[in-house]
Amino acid sequence: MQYMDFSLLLYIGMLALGILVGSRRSVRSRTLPWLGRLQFVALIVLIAILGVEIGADDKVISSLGEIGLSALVITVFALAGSLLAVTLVRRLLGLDRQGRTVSQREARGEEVEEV
Amino acid sequence: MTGWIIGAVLGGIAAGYLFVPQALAEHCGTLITVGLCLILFLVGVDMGRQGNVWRDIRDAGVRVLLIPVAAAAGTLGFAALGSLLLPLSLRETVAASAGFGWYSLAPMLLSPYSASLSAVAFLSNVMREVGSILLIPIVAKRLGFIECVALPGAAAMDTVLPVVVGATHERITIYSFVSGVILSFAVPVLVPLIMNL
Repeated sequence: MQYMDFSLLLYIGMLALGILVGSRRSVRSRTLPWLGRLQFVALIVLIAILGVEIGADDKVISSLGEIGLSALVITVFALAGSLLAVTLVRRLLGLDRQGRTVSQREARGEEVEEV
Repeated sequence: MTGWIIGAVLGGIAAGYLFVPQALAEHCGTLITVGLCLILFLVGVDMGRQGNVWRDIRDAGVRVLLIPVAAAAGTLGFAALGSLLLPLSLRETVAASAGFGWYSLAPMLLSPYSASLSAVAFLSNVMREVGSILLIPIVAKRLGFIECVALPGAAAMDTVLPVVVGATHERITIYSFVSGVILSFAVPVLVPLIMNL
């Protein structure tokens, strides 16, 4: 993550705009099979550009040899620790693996699966 | 999905390193903002079409706030453990991990203390972003959707948000957004605090 200024408001605005458009009856009544495909293509392009930005950054590459191992150890521990803590909290909160509450599962008549 | 994501990020890094000219790479930030706007709009359309937005927010309720708290506690606690393996002090290791993936801010906050610590913080937070992109599809399948939100830390509110939502469900957008925002606000508070302990 790189910037946080007005862009957060921009992102919330785009999401809200999308919700507004998606809620319209004329949009909801269509199937729009291309919506998921466009989302997927945009996602892959975005991730590739993120990669390009990191790969083209001389600071990343030049520091890899010297401090790469230390940074990697911190990263692995940070990722593992946050996964462990959040999975414990999720279970304590009674959310299932798909992140649904009991009431959400029942409301949609879905099968209640193991937490 | 998993293969595409892993291929895109690794291919992008290789391309950026090997042959994308610097002049082009400088515009990546703008492209990422535009791409994120497009994807967030499309995610919004999906959410609107399902019509569960308000109910999902209400159902998620206060528990949304516990996810970033847990992610922060897990990050700092395990980084403390990791310091046992490293030539860095406990405080330095924990402070670097408190960047929560915000790789431009954490090094700036740490540069008054030491240039080398600042560099470690930069690299480890870049690695957190790349690592989270690689792991999210696997964690979504094997462990759970909410856990995916924890991996990118602060980036769960922007750059990695579409990866989380793509690998899980629109319902998780709220968790990802809120978690990323709270962790982002925590970075400039926690990093100096830890260094001054």
